[in-house]
Amino acid sequence: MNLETIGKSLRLRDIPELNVSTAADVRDRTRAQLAAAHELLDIDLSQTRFMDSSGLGALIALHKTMSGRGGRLRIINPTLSVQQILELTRLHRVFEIVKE
Amino acid sequence: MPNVRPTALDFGLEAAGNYEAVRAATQTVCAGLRLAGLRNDEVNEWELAVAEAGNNAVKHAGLAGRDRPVGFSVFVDERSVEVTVADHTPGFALPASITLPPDDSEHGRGLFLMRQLTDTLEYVRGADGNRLTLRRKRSGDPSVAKPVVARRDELVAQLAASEAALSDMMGELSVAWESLDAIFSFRPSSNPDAHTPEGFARHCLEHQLLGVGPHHGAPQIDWYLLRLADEAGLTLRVVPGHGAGEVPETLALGGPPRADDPLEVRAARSRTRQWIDPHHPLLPGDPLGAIFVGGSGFVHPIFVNEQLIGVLTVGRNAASREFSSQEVSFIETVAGFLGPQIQNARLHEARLAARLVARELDIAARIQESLLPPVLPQPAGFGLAGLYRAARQVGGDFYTAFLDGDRGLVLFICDVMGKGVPAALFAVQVHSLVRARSDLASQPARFLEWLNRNLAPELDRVEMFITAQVAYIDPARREMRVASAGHPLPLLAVPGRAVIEVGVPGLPLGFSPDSTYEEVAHPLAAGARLLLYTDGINEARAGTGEFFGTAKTQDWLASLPATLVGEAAIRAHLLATLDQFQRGADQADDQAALILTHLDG
Repeated sequence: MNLETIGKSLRLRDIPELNVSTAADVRDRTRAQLAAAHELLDIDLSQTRFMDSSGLGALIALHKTMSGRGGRLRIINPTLSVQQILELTRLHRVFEIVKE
Repeated sequence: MPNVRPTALDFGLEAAGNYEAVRAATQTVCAGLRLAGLRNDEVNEWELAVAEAGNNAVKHAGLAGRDRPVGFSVFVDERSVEVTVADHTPGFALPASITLPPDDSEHGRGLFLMRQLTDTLEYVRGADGNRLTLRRKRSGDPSVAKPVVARRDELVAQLAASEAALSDMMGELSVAWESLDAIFSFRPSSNPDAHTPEGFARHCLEHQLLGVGPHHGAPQIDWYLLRLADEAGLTLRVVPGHGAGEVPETLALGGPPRADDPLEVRAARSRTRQWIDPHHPLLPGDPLGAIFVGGSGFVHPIFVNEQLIGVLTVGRNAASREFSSQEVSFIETVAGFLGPQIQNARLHEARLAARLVARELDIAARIQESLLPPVLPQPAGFGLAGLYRAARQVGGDFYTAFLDGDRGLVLFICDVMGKGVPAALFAVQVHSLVRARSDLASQPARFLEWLNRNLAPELDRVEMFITAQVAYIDPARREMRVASAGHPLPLLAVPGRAVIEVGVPGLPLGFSPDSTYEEVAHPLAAGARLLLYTDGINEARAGTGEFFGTAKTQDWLASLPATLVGEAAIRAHLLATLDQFQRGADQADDQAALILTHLDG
């Protein structure tokens, strides 16, 4: 995975799988990188071939972190399988999903 | 060639009780589902459902269950998929209704996903472990090939031969038997015929209904007739035995109901018992008229889980006594016992067929592997690397390389058109012929002509053919001589020059017994690389459907750094290039390649 600051956003990308083994790590490393200046957390899921319910948990945790500090979390270009799990769990209503 | 895929599979595996091992097992399960011909979107959904089930098993392990394995068993037939995840954890309580947690909850969606992604979810908690079973119907994709189902009598023979399957079935029968011991005196092991669903049913009925005197209140009947429905529920076929010879063998169930439907068909369609007695006479022309000579009787439909298994008709000739409710309920019990047993027996047949397909694939893969040289010859001044990767369904590619004394090096690669065991067996034949006349190999065209003469009659008979390529490396003359039988021409890369194809195309082996081939000699410069390959390489497909193509194959050969000479390194380089290209797509065909490097000047 790759974390990069672009202006006022922190961008997270290159996550091949967001699953029970990787979710906590993704969550914690992202939180550690978040600075006061970051108003936006962009999570690029265009490379994410597989995501499970633990992956959803990490996204929700980060979403809450961002909301708590007055920022936003966006999901960028999710793959079909990621979109499907978001829709199945009706979380597509909760997240801001951006197709670039 | 049609790409015949198995549509049924039956396998199991165990993973260590940690998330990584369970993830790997999930991927193996999905590989199996792909092998069974499930569509990619179905496999993706199964991947999520199985991952959630496996993760649950690890999550609930606690101290006692830590490091205990998690078992995965997969059963696929042409209609449905069933995956069971077995663990040794204390387990969890399955809620009566599975709902989504609040949107801001970070947990609690696993079960919901499993439920959403499958048709049924069963969780059985036991003292030493738990089993979570997920089932789902397969999509009705018409492009999925029909299974290779053996004839029924062949299957029955296989069944008899397979001790494991037999003991499974006997185990189930005896379990069922114990609980019904009070009414039945039937012993499955005493009758070999009982191994088929029909034989079992007949034996049961003859012992219970027509047996020597009624047991424990069994009704006395004079005749019975049993028909079993086919699995699609389109016909009712009579089971050989009592009364069978006197009625039409098959009754059709398809089509709209008609007023003159036979009584057995009416019972099956309406799912209700139909009586025959003076108040309910048979319609003229009803097949049962051949057996029913007066008295009374009834047709009882047998269903298991909504699926029609068959209809059982019983009758008594004496008009004096009608069936009592106790007698009716006895016959209902017999039918209720038969139904699941017949279904189980059929399931075992299906599983056996799945095992046969899996075994055939395994045999073909082993044959194929055995043909590859365990070690490639590495004559002075040359480096030789080989790659062979079987597709899901093994094809007939192989290569070999051997030294012609101290005179030269023979490279041979071929592709038997076809799949599975037949292709693998032809590959064996080619392999032994190649080794039998290795003395001819220094003249590649003569060599191919000789191979063709020997293989053509049989290839013609089975309408198969083989493409092959021979290259003879002659270090003394610093040249190579090549000949081709319908095979992709070898590619030659010389530093500083464009990659070229060497040789001229010829007819594949097996087209005609007197094909002739043309030999082309070409100098072999220092640093030159020669690639012999099968069409699994240039016809490798990306997820987008794009072919790898000859151009990319040439580019790859030209791009190899001069310093890259190790056998393993070259193989890994090619594999990585192909994998990157094929990412997200299935490997449709075997891939084989031989890469020769001329090392020094």
